[in-house]
Formats: sequence, structure tokens, C-alpha cells
Amino acid sequence: MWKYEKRLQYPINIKTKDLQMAKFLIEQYGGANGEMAAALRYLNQRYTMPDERGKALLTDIGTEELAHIEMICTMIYQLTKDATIEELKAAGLGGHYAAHGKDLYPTDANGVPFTVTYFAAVGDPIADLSEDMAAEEKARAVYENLITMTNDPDVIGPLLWLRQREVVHFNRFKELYDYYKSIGLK
Amino acid sequence: MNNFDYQMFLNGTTNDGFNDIFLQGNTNSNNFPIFNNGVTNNLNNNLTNPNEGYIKGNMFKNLYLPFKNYSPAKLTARNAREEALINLGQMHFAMHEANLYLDNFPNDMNMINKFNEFRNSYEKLLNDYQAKYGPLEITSPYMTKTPFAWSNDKFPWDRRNS
Repeated sequence: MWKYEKRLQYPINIKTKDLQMAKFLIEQYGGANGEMAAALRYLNQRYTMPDERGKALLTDIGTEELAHIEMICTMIYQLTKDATIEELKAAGLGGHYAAHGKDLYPTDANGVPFTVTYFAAVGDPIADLSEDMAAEEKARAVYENLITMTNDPDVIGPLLWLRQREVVHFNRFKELYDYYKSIGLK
Repeated sequence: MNNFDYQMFLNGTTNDGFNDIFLQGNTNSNNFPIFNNGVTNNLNNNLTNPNEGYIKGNMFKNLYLPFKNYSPAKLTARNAREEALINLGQMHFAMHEANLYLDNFPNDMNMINKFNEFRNSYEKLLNDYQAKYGPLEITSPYMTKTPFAWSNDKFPWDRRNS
């Protein structure tokens, strides 16, 4: 069961249209290390964690990732909302417009649709948590790439914030990983 | 955190009612809990306040990792409603950060106390916001009139200019 809160986890207020940046940001919506992959990865792996501690952490971080999907989508939406078709075409989003109009659609920055093959579940909490730690580091790296691709403070602010969440989540997963190791899990 | 020179980022806000929570935060800092996984925690002096934590996206001083020379964004409210939303958001964030920590360290009584301090403040801020500006949760008690307030107010991605 989930409860929706009608607010963003962190405020987003983008005033300047930037279609090129929107195209890049889609990477963190439907890309390999994006927020959708993160949410589904943790919410899928949580059922078979070996104890309530692991089930809690994967549920709670997975739930936060859903809020991050909403943040990324809000950024893409605000960056593209007022675009003309000509502007979309010029920014390399003509293909997106042809298929989806101005709807959002989870792809990577090159327009490749999201796929669940972006994440794994191998029936081993140590292996799964290792993947989760790597996923957080990779998402952090992608956020750093994105931050350096824009000068708009309205975009940089939320990206820095989301990047920092990857840092915190990595550490929480590592604590759980170390704990499981310490109690003799493989 | 007593000596943290934190910035009042909300224009015109001098006392939003939760600063005092953090000034008492160090009183039991010599009471380090030892967790059943053998890890000693040093987090009593490590938790920042919800204001700074929300701006940074990280409530834990030992985990904070800046990127190059970028500074976290200053959150400037354009009106009273946005200010209320930011205040509520930062308190929920502080609660959530304590939540994730406690998932891993469920025996840290100091953090449980912090969690409950944040939670109590959040509940009050949530109630005040919903009474004044409309529902954030479908369980809001302030949806007694027509039109149905849940679907009558803007969704978050459209709140750019409100």
C-alpha cells in the first residue's frame, strides 16, 4: 500500500525552457541508472531480504525513489512545457514528439525505452545489495555529468540535491551489506 | 550543531518554531550506543538540523559529499504558502533521514527520540498547511466543501508560479 503526498520531495521551479537539457535529463527518468530503475530494483528485491531490517530499508529507499521519479519528471515537464514543434525538432526531440507528443515517456537520453533488464535480482542479498550500492554510485556519476551540462541554477539545485541522495543511499546500503556480512551471510 | 552558522533562507522568517529542537541536540552526546552488529555510532554530534539538511539533501555531516565547488541551492520562498511547504518539506525530510538510519540501527534511542521530535513537528506543520492551503494527503480533514479539494488544487509539477 502506498500513500501519495501531493508535493515534491524538494522544490522545483524552472523558469527557463531548455529542450536540450530536458533530453539529457530523461536519462535519469528511464535510463539504465535512472530513478525508475532504482525504484523498481529496490521494490522488487525487498520481498526476499533476510530480515525486517533489509525489508524496511529497501521499502523506504524504493519509496523515496518514486518521489525522485516525480522530481525528474517535473523538471523535464517544466523544461519542455512551452516548446514549439520546431524547437523540439531542433533539440533532437522530434522523434519523441512523433511517438509521444508532449507526454513524458521513460527512455534514456538517446530515446531508448526503459527496460527491466537495467536491474537484476539474483536471489542472494549480498549480491543484490552490491548491485544496489553500484547503482547508487552510477546514478551519482550521471547526476554529476548532468550538473556540468547546464548553467541554469533552477536545474542545478535539484540535481545537486538528488545527487546527494545517491550518496546517502549508497552509505545505507553499505551499512546493511556490512551488517549482513558480520552476521555470517555470504 | 550549536556553532553551525546556518542561514535563514526564508525571507522574513525569524522563528519558525523548530530551531530550538536542535539547540538541545548535544546533551547526551557521550551516550554512544553500540549496535548489535558491533558498529559504534558517533552520530550524536553528526546530525545537522532540518533546515541545513534539507538544503544539502543530507542530514548526516559524516556522509555529506560536495561536488566540486558547487554549493547547495538557497531555497527562497516567494510567498507564505511556499514558505509553509518548504518548512513542512524539510521536517518530513529530517524524519525520513532518521527513518533510513533507524532501519539499519534500530537500537539507537537517541535517533528514535530525534525521529519523534521531527515527526511531531511535521504533523503540526502538515495540519497547519492543510487547514490553510488545501490537502497534501487524501486523509486531510479539511475536505468537507465543494468542490472536492483534492482534485481542485494544482498538482506539484504545475506549482511553478503559485
